[in-house]
Amino acid sequence: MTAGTRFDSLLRDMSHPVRPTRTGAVVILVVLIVLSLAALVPLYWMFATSLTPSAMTVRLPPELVPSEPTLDNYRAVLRQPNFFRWVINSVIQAVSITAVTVATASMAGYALAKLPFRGSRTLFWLFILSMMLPFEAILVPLFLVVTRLGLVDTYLGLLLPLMVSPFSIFLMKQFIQTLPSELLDAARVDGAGEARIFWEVVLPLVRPGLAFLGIITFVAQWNSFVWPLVVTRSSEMRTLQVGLVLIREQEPLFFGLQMAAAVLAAIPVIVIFFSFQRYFLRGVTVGALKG
Amino acid sequence: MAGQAPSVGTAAPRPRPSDRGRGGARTGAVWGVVFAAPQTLLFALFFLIPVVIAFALAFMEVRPTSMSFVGLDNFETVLGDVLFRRAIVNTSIFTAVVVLFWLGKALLIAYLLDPMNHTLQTFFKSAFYLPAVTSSVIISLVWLWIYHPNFGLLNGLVVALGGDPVAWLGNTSTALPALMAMQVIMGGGSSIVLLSAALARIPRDLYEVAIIDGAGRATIFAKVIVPLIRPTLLYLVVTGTINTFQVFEAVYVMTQGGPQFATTTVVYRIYQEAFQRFNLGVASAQAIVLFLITIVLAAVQFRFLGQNVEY
Amino acid sequence: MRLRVIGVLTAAFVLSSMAMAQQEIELTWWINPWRIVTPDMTDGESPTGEEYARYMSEQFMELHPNVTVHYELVPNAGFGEKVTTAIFAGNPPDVLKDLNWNPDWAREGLLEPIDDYLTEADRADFLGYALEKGNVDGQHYIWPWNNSNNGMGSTMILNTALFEEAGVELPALPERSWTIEEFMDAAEQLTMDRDGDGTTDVYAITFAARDTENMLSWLFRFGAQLINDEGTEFVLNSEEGVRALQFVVDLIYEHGYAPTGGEALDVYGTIDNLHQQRAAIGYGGIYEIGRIDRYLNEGRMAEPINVVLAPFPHDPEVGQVAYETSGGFLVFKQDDEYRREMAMELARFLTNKENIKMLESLLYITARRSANAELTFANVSDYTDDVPTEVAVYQAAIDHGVPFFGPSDLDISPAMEHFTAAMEAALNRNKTPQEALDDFVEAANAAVFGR
Repeated sequence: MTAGTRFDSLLRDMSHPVRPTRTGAVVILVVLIVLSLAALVPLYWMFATSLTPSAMTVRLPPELVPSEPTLDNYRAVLRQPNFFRWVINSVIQAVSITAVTVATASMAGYALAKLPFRGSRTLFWLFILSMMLPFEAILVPLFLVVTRLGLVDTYLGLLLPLMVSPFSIFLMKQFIQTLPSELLDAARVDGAGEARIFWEVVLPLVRPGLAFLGIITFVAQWNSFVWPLVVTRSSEMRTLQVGLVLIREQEPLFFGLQMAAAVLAAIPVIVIFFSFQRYFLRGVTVGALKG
Repeated sequence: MAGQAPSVGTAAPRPRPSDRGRGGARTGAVWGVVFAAPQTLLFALFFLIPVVIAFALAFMEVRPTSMSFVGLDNFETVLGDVLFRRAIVNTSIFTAVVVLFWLGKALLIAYLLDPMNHTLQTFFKSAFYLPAVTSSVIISLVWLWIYHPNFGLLNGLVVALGGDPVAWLGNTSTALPALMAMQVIMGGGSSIVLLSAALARIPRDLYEVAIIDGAGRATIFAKVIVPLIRPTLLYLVVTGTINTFQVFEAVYVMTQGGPQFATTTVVYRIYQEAFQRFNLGVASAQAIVLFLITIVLAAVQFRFLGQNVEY
Repeated sequence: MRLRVIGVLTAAFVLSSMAMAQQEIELTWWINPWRIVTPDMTDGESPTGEEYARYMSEQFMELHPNVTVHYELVPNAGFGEKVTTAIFAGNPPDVLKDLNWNPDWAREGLLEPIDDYLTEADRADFLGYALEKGNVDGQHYIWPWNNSNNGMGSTMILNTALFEEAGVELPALPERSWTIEEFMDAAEQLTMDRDGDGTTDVYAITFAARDTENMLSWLFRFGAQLINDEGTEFVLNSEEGVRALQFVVDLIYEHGYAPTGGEALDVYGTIDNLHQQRAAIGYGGIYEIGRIDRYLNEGRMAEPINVVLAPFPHDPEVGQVAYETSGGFLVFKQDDEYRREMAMELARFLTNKENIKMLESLLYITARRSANAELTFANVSDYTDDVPTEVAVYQAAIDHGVPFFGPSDLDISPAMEHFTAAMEAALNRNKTPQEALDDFVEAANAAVFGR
């Protein structure tokens, strides 16, 4: 490759029929940088404020880079009553819901894809329809159900309703559907029981799908707010996202503290994002799965 | 024709799915039920029953120890509630503007990225996706701080440029736009990824044919690109609209519906009605109204944007 | 024969009361954080509110070994919601701090009336209006505990250094009462542009739309009321009310004595301005002086300020107006006699003379006359010159207290979001004071009285 073509392909995909000129590519690059900065600067600012001593946050003009960085705000966060409980609750929520949802949704997806039974088509369409209903529409009656079951402010009350996930079932069904049925039949002929087939044949083949589902479920549960807000009542049962808002309500002027808490809450998800980047960037959806 | 050896031999014919026989299908069916059971049970208890109850509750007055049937009273209250109507207006404006701009931004970025180098694509897709991975609560807290009238970053910038500080969230004319700007700037990461993937799937020869026909960039965009990414666009518009209409966290964390109800939204009113005033009956009626609006929006969009889309 | 019957009955009675007395029961009580210093805390330790709840529970358990007391510290934010949820779920606590309580609970039979458990001595010792706050349809439901709040709505905090710099004399002792005219004169001087650059560096005072208690206090200056005496409609849009709101708006826009942007502030905004010395006057009583101490210790304030208290300025024709409020403990309905007794005993324990005096460390005044007579408030001396003087000023101010929110058995909470909206509109000049208050009254009457 000559220097010219290497330079050419630095920014552009040279095999694309409709590509920009070299100058055009540079302009595009600038535009993209500006747009992405608009979204990333707030995250930087969150981080910067978390390291700024409280007295300095209420000064004008705001410092873009903290001149006297300090960890005091983080210490203050850890001193918040029940902060550790909140983290633990969020971990419990994210981990257990991910585990149960992935397990049960893959089972249900398998059933709908490969083990037809009377009513499975109706069940499938029921799941599809339910995906159109936003969670907030059933918030009130769900709360009433949970209340009457005596599960308000309990782990079961927090976790069980969030384990319902027609979307996950749909996702797994799509993945499993692509598996050749002959494979399963061969295993049956060999005398394997259905449970074993599921465990030893199906699951390993859809591992990428399971991983994808697990990751997006974990992130969604870690970030969830509305249901934990409504169903948890005592301070020890709150999850981290709810706790962030409680911190703000109790210390409305303490910006360093609020930002430090926000950083701590964001770190796990950011770490997951960078570790499993390719899953997020795959762009898998309902429609794209067929490709 | 070369003779094909007749299938002689001692090996049993390989079973095919249709040959499983009734016994096999029945065992399969039983296992199907078993495998589907856990999710279905959860679904029944924590989705179906609440949905049914939602309709029933809307016609009741719910007190701590008793419930009584009140017919259409709750709906009358809801539809006559000036603040609820205001919430519908606010939420509609919010949704329309946010979906339009954020989808526009996503499309623009995906379009700009498409002919770029693969590494660059991955880099920018990550950069745009990252904010989408942090929770709405965190984003709301950060922007609440950015919008602070005295010490916030935005006013710091405004003052540095010679302007006067603005109470972004305290002013009735800027509060809702401020929330909209936040959503547009921070959101859209996953849409960019989806649109990028859709754009990448467009067969290259279609481009070449268009170029041979003498089409310019704009024509190519309109005649080649848009029709082919239509399913993805439709999906994004519909799901984006439904999701954005449910906006809650930003209002709860940042403005509590103010100033003077300029940012109150439908889900926020439902929350207030149900969990601050504990009028579960009225709140259920409000939720039914929300649900109907959502259906109508989705249906309208399918109708007008879904023509000529193949599934 | 009769003797034997009597004997058996007596034995049965004694045995059953012994059994009841030995009955193991559990009581729960909920309270929001009150940062009271308890005797078992180490020196210099800053209370979070947990210590008080724990200490009182332990003390009660020592007195009544067969009772296990569980406390729950409920944050202020969402307190009312949490209680209402518990009521809905059928498991409210046994004893509850009355923050955001709803008088309808009494009407729905959820609360125990305390009248049978109040002794004559108690009735005389508790401040009259504190007891009456819990009066619903003739029966009382609240064991009074704290008299008044942290001063919001009753007194203002004056930064002595800024007053001196501006050359303004503090209002005269012993009560520091001052008229509106005197306040206006002072405010003019207190608004200072130190470096002559045309922008005000120090304002006299701050107005915050979301600061309900203080805004109402300003609106009552010329004699207006929120609700009429009968408790049947909102009357804030009277001539006096409009005049007061116009007065506030003029202070901001015509005279410039208070900063614009108040529509976006809440009470913490006013506190912040006072602490950062952007305003010469803030709001609050002794408790708020204590806040200065707390914030300094937590590093949230860079330099201390020296302050004194003064009542809100008054109109000579109307007289002084302050916020009469108090708080206490409710007892929820109990299934059996013994539980009821012990729950009442817990509430009485929390509010008896010895324990009620613990409010002193928080710089609150109690609801018992006998306890108030013994308060000294020694620990805010760093920020004010003579603590007893300030205490006297405070108590004199709250003597003029009137209920701000109408009769105690009326639940006006659905209306208050409209009040905030009205204040925002007025401070923003989106609406004139007349329009803002008219709209408020209309919405409030609809929300509370269904009209």
